[in-house]
Amino acid sequence: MGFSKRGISGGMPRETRSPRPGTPPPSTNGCDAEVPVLEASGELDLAVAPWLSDQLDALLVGGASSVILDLSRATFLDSTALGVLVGLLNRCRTLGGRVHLVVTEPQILRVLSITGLSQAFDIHEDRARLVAGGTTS
Amino acid sequence: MNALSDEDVWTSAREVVELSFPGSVDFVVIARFTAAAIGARAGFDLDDIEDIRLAVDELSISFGPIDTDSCLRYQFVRDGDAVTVRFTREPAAGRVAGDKEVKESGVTQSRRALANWMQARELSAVLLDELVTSHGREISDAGSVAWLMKRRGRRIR
Repeated sequence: MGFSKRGISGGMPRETRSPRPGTPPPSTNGCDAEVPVLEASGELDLAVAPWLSDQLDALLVGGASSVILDLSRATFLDSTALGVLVGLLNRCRTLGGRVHLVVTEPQILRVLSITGLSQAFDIHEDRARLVAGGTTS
Repeated sequence: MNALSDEDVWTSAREVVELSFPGSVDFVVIARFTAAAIGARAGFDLDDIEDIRLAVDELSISFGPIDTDSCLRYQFVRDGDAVTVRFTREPAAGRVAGDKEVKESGVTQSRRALANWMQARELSAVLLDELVTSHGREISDAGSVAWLMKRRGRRIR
């Protein structure tokens, strides 16, 4: 556990900043999909939720209606961060889009299950397979 | 993790750990860490420890966004295989608990952020129902108190 594990990196060519000192710098998403990708790693809690919200807002301002949120390196998700994701989901649905979550952490899957949101999001185990499959629009 | 046997840990004397922080979301991670340690000493397995970590996080937002001018206090009590956590958010002098003003870092939050918080509050209640054996909260002029109790091995899903 530690602040250095926290980090969020955007997949769009836009300015990003770190929520914590010592957070790794943003990286590119490594794919050419039209759907923007945001990678979030570490513990996504009430300290990170406002920053996560800002980053997701920035993706939608760019004109996207669907988003891929890669949580494969996230280890913790609380209700404040989940609330941000639900807000994103509502906005994307209004725009006719979808929210794809890449999740491998059992505890995060459990949070989604408990809250009844497992079916609301499009949940995937592998981002590369998701992008290659071309089912993200 | 130490090498105490199950019996050594679960039957040992009642333990109390108390933490106090200035009102900041940055310190909640320490409360989660403490919850994990206390849970381990109560004989919780890894799943239960993850649950109580999350539950303590949810407890911390029982009264909305954390005011920077409040004081956060946590009391962790292990008694046998049960862990009880009491979270108190005390207002600073001149303010009262339950103040409707929503602030974070001195800046009034946007409507969207407030909507996210309202959403989070509903989700938090659902999570707490599932994660712990029992929980509740009290709000008074003296301060806001939320509590939870979790016993070992009560995970349902």
